[in-house]
Amino acid sequence: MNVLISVFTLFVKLGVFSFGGGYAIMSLLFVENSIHEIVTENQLTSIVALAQSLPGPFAINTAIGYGFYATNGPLGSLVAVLGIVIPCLIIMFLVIHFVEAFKHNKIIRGIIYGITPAVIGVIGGAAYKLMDTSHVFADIVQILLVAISLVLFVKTKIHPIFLILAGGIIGILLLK
Amino acid sequence: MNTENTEEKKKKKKPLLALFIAFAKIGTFAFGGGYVMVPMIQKEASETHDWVAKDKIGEVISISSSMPGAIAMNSSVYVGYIVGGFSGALAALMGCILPAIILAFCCTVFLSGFQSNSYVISALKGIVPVVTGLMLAAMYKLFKSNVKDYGSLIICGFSIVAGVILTIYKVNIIFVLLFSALIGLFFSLTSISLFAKKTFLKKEGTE
Repeated sequence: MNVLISVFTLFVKLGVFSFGGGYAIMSLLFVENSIHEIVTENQLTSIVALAQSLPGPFAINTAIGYGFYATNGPLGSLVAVLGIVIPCLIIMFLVIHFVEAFKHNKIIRGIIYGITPAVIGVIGGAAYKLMDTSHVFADIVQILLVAISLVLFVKTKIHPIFLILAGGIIGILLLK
Repeated sequence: MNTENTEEKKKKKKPLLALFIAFAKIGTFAFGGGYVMVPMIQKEASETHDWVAKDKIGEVISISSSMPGAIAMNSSVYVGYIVGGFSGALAALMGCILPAIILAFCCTVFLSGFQSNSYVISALKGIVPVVTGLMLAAMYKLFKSNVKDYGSLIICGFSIVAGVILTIYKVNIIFVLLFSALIGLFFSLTSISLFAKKTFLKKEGTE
């Protein structure tokens, strides 16, 4: 029972205090876990490695693995997922209503005017990080894949899902 | 939005199932974290379905990114809420996280060593460049629909340079958003807005 509560509060903390997405969540998780030692460092490393190779929100993938190792069963996973989901829902509802209520307010408009073009650079940073950690720059086939998917998504109506699937197949066939 | 439109929306049943399916698709293929979802949200929410206007996507993603927690989940909740209120938000969020829950659970319990399987590694070597290409395309699309005046252009240019530099030096990217919010305020509230809000587009009219 104690473990369940600590797992839950840990993931609530991640949901409330980690700004900046997946990597911020990951570093806070390592810090918090080193204090409470709910799972071992080795376990955490493999949880994170698995989470990064799976699709979907990194926080959810991590919550599943972390909760499972912490309690030796699915109950921990459930509690961890709830811990990350509940703050997300509450915070987003508050924010959406706040933005809606003050959408004509000069300050709110000014902030949105500033962050909307800025998210383009934030996505650029995230794209750079992905390319860098996967050593995309070192491989001509991978650079070509970047260019092809960029052009196809802008110019055609092909669903990105098919491009991602094709990338996976090309990877298995060509990139050993 | 005119009244006719909102009435029509009220009559129409909330597209909860469609939201769930759209976000389940996105969640199943979003390899590489929250921002990988941006191109897919653009596709599903404003190209396949007519849920969120093209130029509103940037606002949704930027607000979701400025909030704590997972950006993938925040933006699902936001889009879901715009489309179908509270239940829409839940449907989108469930769609976004359910594939991840199932996959992560199966891999944790049954497939230890999934991430070191040679096929998985090879597949990811093909997938990562594709999703980064999609992200670059998403940047281009956001630029086209959101950057229309000098002020936005300056902020966008700054954010790309700062985004990459902060990533290289492993500094939290939230500072780009924080600083841009300040620049945005400065551009909007001071007399610089006369210059900042001037469009650099030649004609094209209103898009």
